[in-house]
Amino acid sequence: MCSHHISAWLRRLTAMTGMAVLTLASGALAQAHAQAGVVSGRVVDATSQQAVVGVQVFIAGANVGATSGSDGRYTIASAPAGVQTVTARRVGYLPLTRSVTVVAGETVTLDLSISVAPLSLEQVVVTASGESRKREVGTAVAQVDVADLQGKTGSKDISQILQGNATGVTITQSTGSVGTATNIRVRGNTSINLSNMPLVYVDGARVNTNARSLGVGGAASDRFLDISPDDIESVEIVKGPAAATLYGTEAAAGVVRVTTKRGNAARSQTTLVLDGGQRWDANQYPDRAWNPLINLGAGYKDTTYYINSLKGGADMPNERSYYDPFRKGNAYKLSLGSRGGTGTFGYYMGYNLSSQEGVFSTNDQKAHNLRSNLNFEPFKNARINLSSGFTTSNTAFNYGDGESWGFVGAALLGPPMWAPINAADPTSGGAKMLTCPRALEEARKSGSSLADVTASTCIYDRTFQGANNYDRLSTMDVQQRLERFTGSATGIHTLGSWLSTRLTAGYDSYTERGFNMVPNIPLKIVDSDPNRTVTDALSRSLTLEGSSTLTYQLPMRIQTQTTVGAQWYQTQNNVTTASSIGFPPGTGTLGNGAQRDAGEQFTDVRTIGYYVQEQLGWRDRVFITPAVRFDRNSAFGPNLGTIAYPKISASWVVNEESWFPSRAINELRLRGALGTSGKQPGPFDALTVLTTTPVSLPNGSSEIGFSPQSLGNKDLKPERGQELEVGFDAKFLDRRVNLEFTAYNKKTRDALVLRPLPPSTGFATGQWDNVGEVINKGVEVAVDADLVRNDFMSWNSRLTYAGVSSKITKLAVPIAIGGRGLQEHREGSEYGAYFMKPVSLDASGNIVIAPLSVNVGHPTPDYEGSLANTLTFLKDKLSFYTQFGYSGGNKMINYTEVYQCRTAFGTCAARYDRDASGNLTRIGKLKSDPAANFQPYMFLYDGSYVRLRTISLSYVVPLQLAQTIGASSANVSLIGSNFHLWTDYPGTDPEINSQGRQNASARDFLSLGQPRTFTISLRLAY
Amino acid sequence: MTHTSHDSVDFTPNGVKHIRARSRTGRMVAFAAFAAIVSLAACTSDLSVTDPVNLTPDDLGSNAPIGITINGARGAFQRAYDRHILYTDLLSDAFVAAGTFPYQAEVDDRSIRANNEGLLGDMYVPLSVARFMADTAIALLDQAKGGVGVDEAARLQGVAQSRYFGGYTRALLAEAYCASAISGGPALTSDLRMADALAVFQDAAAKATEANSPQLLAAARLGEARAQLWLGKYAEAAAAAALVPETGFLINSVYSNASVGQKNFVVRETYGIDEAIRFAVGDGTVSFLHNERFPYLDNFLSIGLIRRRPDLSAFNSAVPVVAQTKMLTGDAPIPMGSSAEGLLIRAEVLVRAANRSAAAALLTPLRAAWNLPPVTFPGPLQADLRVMAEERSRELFVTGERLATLRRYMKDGVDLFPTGTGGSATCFPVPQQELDTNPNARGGG
Repeated sequence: MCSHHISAWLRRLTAMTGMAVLTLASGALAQAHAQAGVVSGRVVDATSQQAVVGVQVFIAGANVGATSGSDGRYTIASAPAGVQTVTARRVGYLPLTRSVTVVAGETVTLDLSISVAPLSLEQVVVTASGESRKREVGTAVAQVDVADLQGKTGSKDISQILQGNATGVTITQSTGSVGTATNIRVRGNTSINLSNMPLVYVDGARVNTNARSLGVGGAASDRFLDISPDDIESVEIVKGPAAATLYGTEAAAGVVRVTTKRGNAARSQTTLVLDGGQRWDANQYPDRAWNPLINLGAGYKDTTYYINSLKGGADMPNERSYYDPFRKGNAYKLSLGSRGGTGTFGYYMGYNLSSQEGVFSTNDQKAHNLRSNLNFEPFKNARINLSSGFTTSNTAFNYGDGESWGFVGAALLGPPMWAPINAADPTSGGAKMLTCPRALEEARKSGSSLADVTASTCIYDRTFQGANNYDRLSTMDVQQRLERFTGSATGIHTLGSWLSTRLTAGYDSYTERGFNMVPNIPLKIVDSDPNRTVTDALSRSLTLEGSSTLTYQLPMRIQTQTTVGAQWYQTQNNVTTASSIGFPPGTGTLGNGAQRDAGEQFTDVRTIGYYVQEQLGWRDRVFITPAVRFDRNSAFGPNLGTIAYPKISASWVVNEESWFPSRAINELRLRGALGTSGKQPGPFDALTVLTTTPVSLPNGSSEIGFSPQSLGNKDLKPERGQELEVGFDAKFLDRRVNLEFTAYNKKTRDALVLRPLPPSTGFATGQWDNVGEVINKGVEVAVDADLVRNDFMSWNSRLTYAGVSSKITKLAVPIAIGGRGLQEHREGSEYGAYFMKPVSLDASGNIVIAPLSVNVGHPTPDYEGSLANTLTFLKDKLSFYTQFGYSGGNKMINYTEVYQCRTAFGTCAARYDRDASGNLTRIGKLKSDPAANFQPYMFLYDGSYVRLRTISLSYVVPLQLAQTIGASSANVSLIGSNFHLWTDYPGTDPEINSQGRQNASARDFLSLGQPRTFTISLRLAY
Repeated sequence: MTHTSHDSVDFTPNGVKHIRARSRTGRMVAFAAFAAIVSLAACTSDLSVTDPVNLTPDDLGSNAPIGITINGARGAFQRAYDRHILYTDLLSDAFVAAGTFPYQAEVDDRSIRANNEGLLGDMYVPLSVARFMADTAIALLDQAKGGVGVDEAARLQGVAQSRYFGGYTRALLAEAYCASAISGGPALTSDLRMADALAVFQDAAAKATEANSPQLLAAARLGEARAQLWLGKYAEAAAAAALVPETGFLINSVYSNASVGQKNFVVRETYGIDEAIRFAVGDGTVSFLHNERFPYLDNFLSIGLIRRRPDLSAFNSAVPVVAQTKMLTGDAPIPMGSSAEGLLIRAEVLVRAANRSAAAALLTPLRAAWNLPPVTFPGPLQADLRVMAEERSRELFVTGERLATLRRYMKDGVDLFPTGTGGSATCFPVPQQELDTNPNARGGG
């Protein structure tokens, strides 16, 4: 009875309480509602303007918030009225805070634009054994946000994206012409004689990055540049042996991993990019003077009149267009990309059309890139990624880029266009000025009859024989056509949480046809004109990789991951060359030539490797990872078996320790690694090779004979790079400052040296032997800081610094580089140091030449880096970006001046350098003295510089305006590059190396400097 | 916390079957993948690659084909000889630099440094290769003796020819280089190297006799005479030269237009065939660093041995082209030895013995071919040698004799080297690479 009554009472009490609560709640809600408004808007990525899904948008202190949907939209209902602070957060992005005034009963719109955060610990990085979280990796990870940089820099190729944006990675151009080769170095110079280019992978397929000389000077084509930046999602750079161990032989100089775009349900968008712009030559060319052996009076000096006339200077008469080979080269690009998908299927399709004109009329490039990427899950816990890219391009190169036969050579070495040839007394006017257009100008100024000075009397064609004149250069044809396919298929299967298996097959193939043609025109330089050379290159690379990772949880919160893997890599290169000399007029194919020649080269290199890696993780914050890779390679000497490359790395996320004072430092990770990698010999370096050549016989026929080429080495082994790397990653000041620091010591043992043999043995080429040792030591620092972040503006600054010292620590016999004892690899000296005899003047003004050669500098910069600033205004609608690059501590040979001053050209203006009294200055004396001028020391200069690489201004078009053309977002950018150069180097450009990818030789020789460009870019998203 | 289907337990019989089926599938996939990885790792056998490009000693086999062997020695000599001529004539007064390469300018200026890259690459290496091939050819030919299908007559001929090349390359090394090494041995002075050449020429003569080759025998004898002349053994020189026919004997280094590499390099560099003109006869107006004038310019112009070529332009556009007219095409041969050389050697020996009239008589037919009157030796010896120098230069123009003549005559106090130069080199130094890599070469010999 009592229980019944009590139960009833309780029920009534419960009901009454509930009703009261509901009433109160309703009332509260009603009251709150009456005092609340709605905040609604759209969250987009600050760079791409794409919607960002899953962003937490909340009002701190009010406990109200929302999450953005697939279209980026969010709605916070019941936002308290008044001025509120809205915060947006998402993993991988920087938090964003904005103020908004909420009006009760009304909806206020607040669109948010969030920026990608620098690499966070949970971010996934690609490693040789698969994907790992950054926190687990014991080495520095350089990751380049390509999409962000593309928007700011409008880069035309991947090398421009990387330049200045990856600490410790150095990019140099061989010339300023479109389509010519770049050189990449990661942490100094790893090898003495082998290539120091890093390996490159695209979606797991190893690709060929050959640079091929065009046979017309220093220019070379470059297969590294075939990848379209608009198709790239990210680039990761594995910098040294400590990180590259599991990539095996050939990875000692680092690895560049390119990942192209993928699609998924969350990121579904079509993007259209339209770029248009121009490039022009804004370089300063060195002074030059006329040949002193033709007496034009004491101290006569022609200060760049020739090159100015070549550029069509302001004081030129109407003949400017006739003689001016420079132009403003147009550049445009159309890029269309579409990505999307469902929960289990994603796609990315992209098409890119690019057309670029160089600053000389004979240089341009047109390229098409087509990409198709699919990813899908055929069944649960299995994923397949398919990637395919097709590139076709046609590039026309300048004839004689970086040598005396080209435009720059003609301008700097040839006689000025006004100089008389048979002048008894040129100043009296008694002899005709036999060249134009200066003669025309002089005649016009003096009022003389122009009839005497006409084009027919001009001997413009009598330029220096090694320098072709404008007419001739314009008719020479140097072209290269490319078709390339790169594809890969990756299958990943996970079995529960304990076993993951990955299989990758990659294929890269290209055909490259190049030809250069000197047509049949009247002004023959040598008897071999006209001539034509055709080169066909076929390259195929096959990558097969597989790995399995077993994950197991041990007691004491220890997790182990054991990975076993294997890799097969094969590359074949087949190059066929044919040439023909002497065509009848009107013809130009190989079969018409009077004299024909042919050659063929073939290489086949194969590598098989397998590895084991064991990762031990403790409390998900301390990781130790030992590993070893075993390799066999077809280029190893026959006496060599399997090579082992061990490594060990460690990572500790210190800030997650309970004792860590996290107020000052938000994140701190200590990392270190000790690892080895290798560099294989050339395909046939272990063999004794004889050369076959045709031999003329007394009966007039030809037969084959042989002669020695190189002495083999049965014990030849790969170079072995060992690196110790330590560093830390830290974030502080509420993660607004990100600091990365790395110090490394990289030693290359058994460096392959083409050991010179006594020429008297008959094997002058030498013998490959593992007798060298190189050490690269350095530090890398990157500081990324959000200096200002408020409603009015934001300011992000990124400063990078990389210091490196490259030294030869073991080399029994010095190796001369670049001929004539200019540089040497010498034990105890810097890599490729300059060994020269210093020249000076004594107190009496006499020339003093040191008796012995000494180390006077080195070509590799001691330090380099960049400073990039991004300022945004109008709530990230307007952004302004600048990037400076700097480099220093190196010396460079001005080989242009060598030719100007030391040969019969005599166009060295410094010889006539006089003071106000007419006396030769110090430099004039030195450059006038034949003995002094003979010393290469006279042409060695400081190669330091600061360059303003990029300035850009971007504006996010108002949404309503974008929507009028059906776009969900629109962005307009004005981008300029190579704005200014500050340097004491007197040559054209200290960042150009006419020696291309040669390891130590750094030389500026009649090189075209980097041009200045301006681009307008429109990006539309749908 | 959600569970995957593999983690959840469905106790219904069918559910269990399904889970087991899915797990089994997954395990099969994983096992297959693992097996693939292991198989890949185990597959170490396919690292052998074919090499259709390179010729290796293994390709030649134990009995190298004698044809390719003999051709190798000939070809290496052809490629060395023409380059030797260009550079030795540049150091002497026969040519001046008309190009842009600083290392050629060094030679023209007689201020050659040991690290001169042209010195090494354009002369020393080709000569060393030619010497190596000549000696190697003999070893291979000896090895081929009695082999199946070997033509013994051709083999003997090849041995004699290779030995002759061996002697000739040694003589060229002696005449051009202050000191030179062979096969990593000591750097011998010119005299010692020429003694070495003499021994090889004498052996070549024996081999030529064995091969029953009169031409090679005469060539070997002429080489022997040349070596004896250098060594100051004049009687022996005259005796050897007397065994060379006075007329009709000529042995050439042959060239061809079949390919660029087979062309006469002297013609290419002095005539603008395939290459720009980088060597010209100095006319005293313009040169690189000094205005060098060929001493016989007027005489040789008058007989047409050289000719001004205003239609051609030197590579540096400054030196006027005065070109030789002996060789005008890419397939023009270069004499290695001739009846004329034999007569000149005999005449010089007579001049040194003050038998001037006999010497002049020997040279009369040679001069007659140029429509020149008989030569007069005025005496004393030094004046005679100056006359002799011109005789030799005319008959042996552009065959590499000039430097050797100038060096020999300096021993007699006759200095005919060009003046006004920056240096005073009379021979090429041992290249730096030889000094760096061959410890035996540093001590000299």
